Amino acid sequence: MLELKLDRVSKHYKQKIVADRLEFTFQKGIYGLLGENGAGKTTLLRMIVGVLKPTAGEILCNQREIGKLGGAYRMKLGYLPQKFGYYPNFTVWRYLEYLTELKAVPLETAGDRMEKLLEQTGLLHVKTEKIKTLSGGMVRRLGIAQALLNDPEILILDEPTAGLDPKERIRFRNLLGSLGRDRIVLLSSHIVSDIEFIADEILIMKSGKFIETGNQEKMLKTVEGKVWECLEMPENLEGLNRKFPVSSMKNLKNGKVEVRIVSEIRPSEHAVQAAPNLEDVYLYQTGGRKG
Amino acid sequence: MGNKDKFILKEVSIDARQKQKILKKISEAVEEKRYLYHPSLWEIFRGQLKYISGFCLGGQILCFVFFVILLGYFQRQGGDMTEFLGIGSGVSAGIGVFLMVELSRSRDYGVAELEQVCYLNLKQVWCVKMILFGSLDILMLTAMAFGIAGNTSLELIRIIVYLLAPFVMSNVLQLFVFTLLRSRKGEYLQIGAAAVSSGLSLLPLSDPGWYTAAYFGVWVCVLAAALLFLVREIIQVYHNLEEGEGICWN
Repeated sequence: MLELKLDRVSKHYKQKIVADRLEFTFQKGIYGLLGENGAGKTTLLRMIVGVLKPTAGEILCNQREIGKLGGAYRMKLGYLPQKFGYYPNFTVWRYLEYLTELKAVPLETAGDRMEKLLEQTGLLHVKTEKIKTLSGGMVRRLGIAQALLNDPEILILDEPTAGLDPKERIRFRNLLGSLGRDRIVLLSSHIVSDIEFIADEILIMKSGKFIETGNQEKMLKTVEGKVWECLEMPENLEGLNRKFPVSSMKNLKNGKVEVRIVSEIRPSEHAVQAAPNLEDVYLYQTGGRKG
Repeated sequence: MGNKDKFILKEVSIDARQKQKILKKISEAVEEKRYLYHPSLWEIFRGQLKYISGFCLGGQILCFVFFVILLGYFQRQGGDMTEFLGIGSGVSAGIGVFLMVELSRSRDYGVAELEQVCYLNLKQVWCVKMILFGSLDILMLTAMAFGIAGNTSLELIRIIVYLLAPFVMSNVLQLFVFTLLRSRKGEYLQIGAAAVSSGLSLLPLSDPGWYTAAYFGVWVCVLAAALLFLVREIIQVYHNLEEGEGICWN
C-alpha cells in the first residue's frame, strides 16, 4: 500500500511563509494541485521530491521520513520541474540515456523503455536530434518522457502542460490516463481545465495553505447556488466586475454580453442560477468571495 | 487416446486462505520495481565518465600532457628546476577550473533540480566527479613532484608543499566563486578566478628566496589554512545542496 503523507509541513524563507502546516495523505490516484502563482505549489512539490527541506514537519512515504529513505525513495520518484533543464547539445536519445543511468534503469530494459516513451510522447522521429533544435512543446514532452523513465510509483509534475498546444495537452491527458491508477500522480497547474479532466482529487492552495481539498463532486457542492449567468449591456460590465468575481464573459451578436458570476447573492435582477464548474470553484476559493 | 480419462481432474479443492496468501505474495512481487537495480561503484564511475564534457576532461588531460612536455624540455635543457617549480605551481593552480566548470554545468543549464531527485543524485554525481578529477590532479602533482625532486636538491616533502599550497588555495577561491555564481556566464568568471590564481602562483618566482628553507614554515602555514578553508567550502557547497539552495533559484 503506497502512501505519502504530509505531516504539518511548513517552509519559511526568512519572514515569508511559503507553506503553512500542510497536512494531507496521498494514496494511489491522480491529484491536481491548483493555485495562483506564488501560492506555494512549486515549493510544496520541491519538498515532496526532496529538493527542498521543510522548515518544520515531515513528509512520510509509507510511514518513513523521505530524507531517511534516501535513494530508496528517489527510486520511486518521477519528476518534471516547472523549469525543465537540459543539456542543449545532447540528443534526445543521449539525454534519456543519461537520465536512465542516474535513475538506475538497467541498460537491457532502458532502450525499450526509452523507445516506448518517445513513441508515446510523439518524439520518436526526433530521437537523434539535439535538444536545442526542438520546439518548446517538444522539450516539454521530453520532460514528461524522462519523468516516466523509471516507471515511477510517485509521479510529480509541476505545470506539465505549460507551453503545450491544445493537441499536445490532449495527448498528455491521454498519456496520463494510460498510466493507470496504481501510483500516486500529483500535478500542479493554474489551468483549471487540465486538472478538471485528469485529476481524481483536487487540492486548492492559497498563501501556502490548502484551502479546499476533495473530489470534483465535493468541490462543486461548495459553490452550488452561487453561480449566476446574466445578459448585460457592455456599459454595466465595469460595475459588475468591481462588485462580483466574474468567471467568464462572452460577447453576443445582439450587442449584449453573457456574464458568468460567482456570488453569494444574486448579482442582478436578470441573473439566473447556473450549474457550477471547477473554474467557478477555483475563482470562489482563491479570492473571489465578493458580493 | 484410449486412456484420455487419466488426465481429467475430477475435483479440485481450493484453499481460499492459501489462495489469498499466494495472491498477496504475487501482488507484492509485482509492486517490486521492475525497471530498477542498484548499480555498482564501477558502473557509476563508468557511467559518469561517459557524460563528462569533452572540454573539461580534455582540458585536464591536455594540462597533464603540457606538464609532461615541459618537464621533458626542462630536463633536456638542464634548465633551472626552481623556475620549473614556479611554472608548475601556476599550472597546478589552474587545473582545478576544469572540475569547477564541469560541476557548474548542471546548475548553469538548470538540470540540477532534476538530477537531485534521481536515484544517483546531484550530491553523489558531484562526489564522483570530484574523485575523478581529483585523481587526475593528484596524478599530475605526484608526477610533477617526483620529476622536480629527481632534478634538484630539494626534498620531496618541500616540493609537495610548494605545489600543493597554490593548488589548494586556487581551489578555495574557485569554490568560493562557484557558490556565488548562478548563471551560464558564471563559467567565464570561474575561468577568470583560475587565471588569477595561476598568476598569483607565479609571484614567488620573482624572488627565488621564497623557495628556500627559511620560508618553508610560511608555506606550511598557508597550506594548512587553505586546507581548512577548502574543507569548509566543500561542506558549505554540500549543505547548500541539501537545503536546496544552489539548486532552486526561482
